[in-house]
Amino acid sequence: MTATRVAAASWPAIGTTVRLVVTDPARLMPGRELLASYLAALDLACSRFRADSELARAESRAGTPVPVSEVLADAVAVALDAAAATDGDLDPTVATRLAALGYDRDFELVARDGPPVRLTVRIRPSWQDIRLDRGSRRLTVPPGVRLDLGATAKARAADRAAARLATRLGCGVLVGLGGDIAVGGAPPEGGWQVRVQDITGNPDDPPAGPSQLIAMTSGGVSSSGIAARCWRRGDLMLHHILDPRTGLPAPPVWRTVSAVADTAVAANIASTAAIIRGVGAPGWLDSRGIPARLVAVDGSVRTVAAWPPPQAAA
Amino acid sequence: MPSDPGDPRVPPSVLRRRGRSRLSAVTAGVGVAGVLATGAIAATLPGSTHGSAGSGAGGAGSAAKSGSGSSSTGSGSGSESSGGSSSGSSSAILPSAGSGGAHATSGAS
Repeated sequence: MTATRVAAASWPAIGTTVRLVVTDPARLMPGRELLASYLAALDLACSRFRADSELARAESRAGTPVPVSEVLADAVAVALDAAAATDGDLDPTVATRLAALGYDRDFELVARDGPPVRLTVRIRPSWQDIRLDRGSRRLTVPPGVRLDLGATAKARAADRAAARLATRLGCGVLVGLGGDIAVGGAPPEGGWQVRVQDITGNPDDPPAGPSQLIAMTSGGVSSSGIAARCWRRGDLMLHHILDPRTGLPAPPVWRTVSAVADTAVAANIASTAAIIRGVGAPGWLDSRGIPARLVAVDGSVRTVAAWPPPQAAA
Repeated sequence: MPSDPGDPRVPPSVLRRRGRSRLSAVTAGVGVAGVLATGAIAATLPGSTHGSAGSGAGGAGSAAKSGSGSSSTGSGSGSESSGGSSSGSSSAILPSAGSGGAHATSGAS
């Protein structure tokens, strides 16, 4: 049996690490160029940290229907679908709260330590107050609201990029954007090898903490967790996954949740919602048949649905 | 809805059975490309042809990062490597799948 050759590249973009793997090494560079171009367009459309982004412009015209690009309209649509599918667990309007907690710029620039923050509880508009006319692609952002599309936009981008690159390049493709991974085209022999772990890193480096190697041939895998993007304000350790109901970081029940689904965005929705749902997450995931691996804050591992059992872990 | 993590209209028992059948088909077919094409996820069991988690098993050495990124090429068996790719920002030739390494990692980021 002839082994499948693969080629891989990694580089930083859109505030995370991009990973591209292709089954035809000769297609790596064209693939990288296509992916970089796609991500640049995504960043310009959806970044909440760029004053010149299309999202920032829509927010600045609060209350007014603003024509938006297909990229931004799609990202907002997916975010709203995610909110609906999780009964509001994934609410893109938490960006306002994230900023109040100190995460108001690219995370590399966020001070890891700082004075206590004063928080005020207010009834704010939620995702249900965002208006998106999907036909005419007009977006209306309520006054005082900022949107964080990052929870689902990266996963959606991985899905779209993997499908497009597989078609354009004519080979198997894996696209990883941080913890969100999508694959397209024919996989390599043995499937795409993905190691789930607490924090995304270089696959050639040994993982810190519990990990597991899985193989996948289609769909997507996503991991969400509280081990990354943490910062301190006063005596409080904060992380970036907020419970919209409290406006505060979700209580630390699971430090990492990984899920597999037909798409990376569906996996992302499941893994992020699981962090927010805490002790209720295993039952919620199992009731939906979503294979998932949950790592508790003490490092113990629990799996649900068809996820391989922990004893198969590396 | 493509972003719905599980269709609530489908009974949970059906969803679970669907997930198991998908997994078992792939698990049984690890290493057999024809079977793998039908599935989505499989455990890579310790001792299997694809080894376990951890760093790449030596070979051409670790990735030599430079600049803002890295790239590598390798074979599925890990026994040979293709010509080095040039990304313009780095270069390294590494074994990939089959040598104990992973194509990618998924964790919080």
